[in-house]
Amino acid sequence: MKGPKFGQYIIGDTAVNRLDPRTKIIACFIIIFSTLIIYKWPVILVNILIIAAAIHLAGIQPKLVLKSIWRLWLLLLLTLIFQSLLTEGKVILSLGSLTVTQEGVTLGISTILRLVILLLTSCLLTSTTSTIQLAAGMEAVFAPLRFLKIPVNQFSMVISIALRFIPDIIQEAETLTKAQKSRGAPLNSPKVLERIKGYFAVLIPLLANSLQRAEDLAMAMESRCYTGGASRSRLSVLCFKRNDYLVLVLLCIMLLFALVVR
Amino acid sequence: MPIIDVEGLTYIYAKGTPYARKALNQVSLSIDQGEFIGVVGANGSGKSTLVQHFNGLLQPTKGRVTVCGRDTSSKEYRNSLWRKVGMVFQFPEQQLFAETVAQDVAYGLKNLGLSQDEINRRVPFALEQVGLDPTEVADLSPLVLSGGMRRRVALATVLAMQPEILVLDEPTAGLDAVGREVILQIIKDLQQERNTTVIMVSHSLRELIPLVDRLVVLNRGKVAACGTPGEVLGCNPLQNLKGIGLPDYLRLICELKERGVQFENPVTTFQDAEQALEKLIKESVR
Ligand SMILES: Nc1ncnc2c1ncn2[C@@H]1O[C@H](COP(=O)(O)OP(=O)(O)OP(=O)(O)O)[C@@H](O)[C@H]1O
Ligand SMILES: [Mg+2]
Repeated sequence: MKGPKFGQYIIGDTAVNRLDPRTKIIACFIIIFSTLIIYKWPVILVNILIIAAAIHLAGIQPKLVLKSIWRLWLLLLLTLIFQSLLTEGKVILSLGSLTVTQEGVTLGISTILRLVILLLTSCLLTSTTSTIQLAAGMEAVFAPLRFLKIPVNQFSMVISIALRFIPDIIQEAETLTKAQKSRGAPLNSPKVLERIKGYFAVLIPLLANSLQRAEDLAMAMESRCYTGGASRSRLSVLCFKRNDYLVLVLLCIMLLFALVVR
Repeated sequence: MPIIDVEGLTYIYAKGTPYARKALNQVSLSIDQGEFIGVVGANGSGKSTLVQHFNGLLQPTKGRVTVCGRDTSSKEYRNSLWRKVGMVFQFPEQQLFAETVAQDVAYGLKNLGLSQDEINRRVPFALEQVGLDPTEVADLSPLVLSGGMRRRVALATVLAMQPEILVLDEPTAGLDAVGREVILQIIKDLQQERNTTVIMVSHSLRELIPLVDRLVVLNRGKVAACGTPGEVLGCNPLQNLKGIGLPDYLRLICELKERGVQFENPVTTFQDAEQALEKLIKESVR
């Protein structure tokens, strides 16, 4: 894990960081929903504008964003190629039996943009919302599902615990990698099979330690009388502020606009 | 020529992110072949970070680290350093992974490319060295051992490789008094009999002082003091060793010095202190 990645939570105090997690989750849903079901250009452009504004407000370096998009270059390129070759329409270029159509190119580009929107929306959410907030927000947003007898609280607890331990596990994997490297584990071997064998020496103790950790955590929670359920109170109570209403109203207008354009 | 030479070493974790953290700041020191070096410092002072440069796990952000005469900036050299530099990590018991203790000890030896005969010879020897009975533990799963026993197995995995330089990151933390003695004795023997260079990180000055040739004191990523225990403790230990906590007997000596008592010989070990105090008492009785 070298260098920062877009999508990693960064402690900050920007306008986007301060938004209520529910606002951000709902906003993400709206953007993803509208991007997924509507192919029209105006919607794509409006969504891109919204995301660009949010990235700017969150103080994220454009370089990071571009890097994270660049990592998907193969997927994006293939999308463009297949869309332009396989769509029927006005031919603008023909290479033997392959024909590139104008409709195909347009569709390819819009698909790429839509993929990028999906990527950036989720990265933006996770890079400006701490895992605790994210879990609390999820729980609140999905709360209505309780009426369908779905144990929302427990799920939210499971998610927040899982999210909470990811950095620890990464850290531990790093330490284990170092330790096994010091014993000559062939982690840099040019032979793939050797390398995979080498990584077993990291994975096995990692798994064993994670199980141990889970057991310890269960014990610790039980000994503090944890019981799941809706009656649990929270340390920090979520509350909507002016900006939250502003964002939600804006996005609802966007959604209406998208549905009308459609 | 020093076997390890560190020059102006600065190391920054997560460089270029908001989490960037300078763990080492302009550290310079050199270690000679066969020396026993103790590294002390408060939590987070950069001890582990420093020693991980010695076997090429970390690459300096700035500065230079030379091991056995070659700069570790070459990736190829870094990746081969594990053959020369054995490293016992902090809490090494978490790294055991094989089905049996014997297999785990043999892992590093296989990677070294030793013959099966040699491996079969070295494994029980290493287990015995750390005070475990090979016939008893060799075929057990590491998971059924107690924490302290696992620690000893982990130590055995590195000792079996017979490295030229041995780096230990807090090898005795969490061990019982006997286990501690055993391990310290093994390390000292290795250094004296095989002339292995030993670098040992510890929180306990008391266990380091009688063992080491030189002490390196780290404070917030900088070398606060470096020299023989006598030199480091000599002038004004309270200033040099801020945040570490002196052993009780040294604190007593310091208090006495502050009240104007003069000691002829430098006091570093417990025995020194005992003698000095005995003399003091005799004189005052007279
Ligand atoms: N993997 C890492 N990523 C980011 N920062 C780290 C990492 N490892 C250590 N640090 C930071 O570097 C500094 C020095 O850490 P280091 O582990 O070297 O200290 P230490 O002297 O070994 O402490 P301890 O006595 O607790 O073992 C600490 O402030 C720590 O927060
Ligand atoms: Mg450490």
